[in-house]
Amino acid sequence: MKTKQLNILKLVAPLALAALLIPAISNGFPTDTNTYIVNSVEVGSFTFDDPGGPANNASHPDWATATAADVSLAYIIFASANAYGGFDNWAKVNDNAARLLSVKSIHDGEEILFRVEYADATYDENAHDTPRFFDALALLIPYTGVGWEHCKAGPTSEPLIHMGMRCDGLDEHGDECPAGQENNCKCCPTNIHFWRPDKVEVENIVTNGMGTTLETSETDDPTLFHASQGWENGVWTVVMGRAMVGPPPGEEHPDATHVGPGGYMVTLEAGTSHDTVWANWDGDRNERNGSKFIGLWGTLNICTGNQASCPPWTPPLP
Amino acid sequence: MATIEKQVRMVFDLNKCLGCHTCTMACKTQWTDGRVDIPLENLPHNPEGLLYQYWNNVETTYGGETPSRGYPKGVFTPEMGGGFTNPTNPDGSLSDDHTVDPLGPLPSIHEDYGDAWEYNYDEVLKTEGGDATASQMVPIPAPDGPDAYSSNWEEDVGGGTYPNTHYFYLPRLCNHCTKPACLAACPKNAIYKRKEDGVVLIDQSRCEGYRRCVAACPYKKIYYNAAKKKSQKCIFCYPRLEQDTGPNEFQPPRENFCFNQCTGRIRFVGFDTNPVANVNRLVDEFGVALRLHPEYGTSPNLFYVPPLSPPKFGDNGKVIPNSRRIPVELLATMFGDDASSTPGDPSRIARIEEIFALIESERAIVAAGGQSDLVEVLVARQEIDRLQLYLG
Repeated sequence: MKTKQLNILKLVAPLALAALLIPAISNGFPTDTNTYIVNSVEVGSFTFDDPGGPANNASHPDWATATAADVSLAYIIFASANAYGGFDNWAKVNDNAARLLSVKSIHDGEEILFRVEYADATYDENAHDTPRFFDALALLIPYTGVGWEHCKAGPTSEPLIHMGMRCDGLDEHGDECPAGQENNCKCCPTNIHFWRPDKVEVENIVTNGMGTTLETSETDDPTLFHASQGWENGVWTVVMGRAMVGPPPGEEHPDATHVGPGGYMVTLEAGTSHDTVWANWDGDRNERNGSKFIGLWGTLNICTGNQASCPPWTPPLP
Repeated sequence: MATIEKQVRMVFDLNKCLGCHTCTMACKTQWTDGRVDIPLENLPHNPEGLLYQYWNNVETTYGGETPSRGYPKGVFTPEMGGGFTNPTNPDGSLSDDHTVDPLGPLPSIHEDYGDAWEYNYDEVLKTEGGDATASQMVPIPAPDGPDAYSSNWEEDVGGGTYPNTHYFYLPRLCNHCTKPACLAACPKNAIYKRKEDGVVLIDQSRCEGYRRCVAACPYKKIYYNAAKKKSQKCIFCYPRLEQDTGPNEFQPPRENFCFNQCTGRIRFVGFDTNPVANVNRLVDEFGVALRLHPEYGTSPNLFYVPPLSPPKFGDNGKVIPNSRRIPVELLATMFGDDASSTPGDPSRIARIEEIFALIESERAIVAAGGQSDLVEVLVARQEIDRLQLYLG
């Protein structure tokens, strides 16, 4: 079990991935009023492959030790700039409705789980026909490691797809970036943990700045990512899991477009807090890519023990 | 839109189309039957998601109380959507407030395109040894039920009232538009026009199967491969185009296969930059070829010579002078010069009548023993008279 001193970080970096733009915030940066808290309480050791454990049993007693957070999502349409047409008329149905995720989290110091429960009238786990799309969930966690304070924040006019770009010309090790690549220096990765029911797995998507979404190599390592799922009576219950610490840096970049399995995983350590954003796609409503429901910034506290050890809610420093 | 060096241009003479579907089968056997695995960029080679796709198809088209539905079902109905709203300025340039109109539904493979089928060749055709076990070629699985459909479901059905029923064949493929709505709609910028010929392609490595392009194309000539979860379309046989010569080193470069195989010799192809190419003579010099649904605003590069038809019969069994079995009003809802013309508008009717009058007068000249450039071009006695990409 890893225990670190509590460290509340103020994130000023542009954390919104283009596909997760939050319209209610003027520039996509975290505000002083994160709207929900997910306290990840520490429980006894568990593994992803234990069929009766909390990773695969959404009713396991460990889940009762965590408090559910209500994450409210709103509809958005966002797509990369295209000079030839607008996307405003892509809404298929009434986009004024809110969508609610109920999120719990537990960890054992090695792995962390997120249990997400939400209403969805239809079970959309395939795209076997042209008008069929997948249900999906995504959790965005920005990088908060060494050098985070240099992650590009930018003024409100800064393009929002500059997520995680570094503006001081140094990489995550504090070394100078190669000439001509200062703006692409990969020091501020953003993780998106993506679930889709047909894969029954969590896909790790890494971004490092404008146009840098990296494909993550598949892995046979069962300890890096995990998903279990169930849909019943119009309710999805999904457990998404990941290792709290990713592989060492040497395995991260097979080439310019790929990261290794688990590459650039944002480190989640007990005693730390992270800003997070959730997104959801309802396949029955033809939601895909930039047409989706997303939430506002929230806080994920990785608690050092049970619920009582979780930090009180304190807004980030101005 | 993209800057290109030159644009492929196509003309189909609907007066010559037999509805034989050789073009459809040429494309199907070349690219989308799933039995050929060609590992070339942008080429799909997954059979399961490919088989239902007809990049080239031929629709029997007719009007009347129950008009033809096209392929996919309802393709040209307002509900299907696609194209641009507020497409163009009067001079044809893309207007400042144009937007892609993807409001239409996405067609279902089963209900609107029709599930792919195969034929029981092995049971019917006598092979080495053994006897044929079936006497009739049948599709497997057989399209069945109230929603059954296919690319030629209304083959030779016809509209109107006897003895003045009518139909014509409408062969279609991707128009490789100058202003592709599919390109405009893609949030991944996966669709592009080739600089050297304006062919519109989908980069399969970028495509994520969002299907904005499928909704945006008003001609519904982009298909979703459900197995690969990618959108796919006619590639204009670009690998053939890129060969320096045909199979015989003395032959000109190959053209797209559906054009090459056309038995009716209805298809003309060339580049827009060469005024002597017959496609340009038909469109610009003679002015006898029109765009299909130009009001969508995509500026398609496939033009059609509208189909003439015999006169109608009156109730007394006699020919009605100056009448046409295929209603010109129907043709005017389909064909026009550019996006400024409105479907069914009197100007379109007049334009089509103008084309008919020219063709008929030129034919009369030839019938009387004279010469006509227009007729000579339309007859296209040799392949090199209509397949003219080699002219550059």
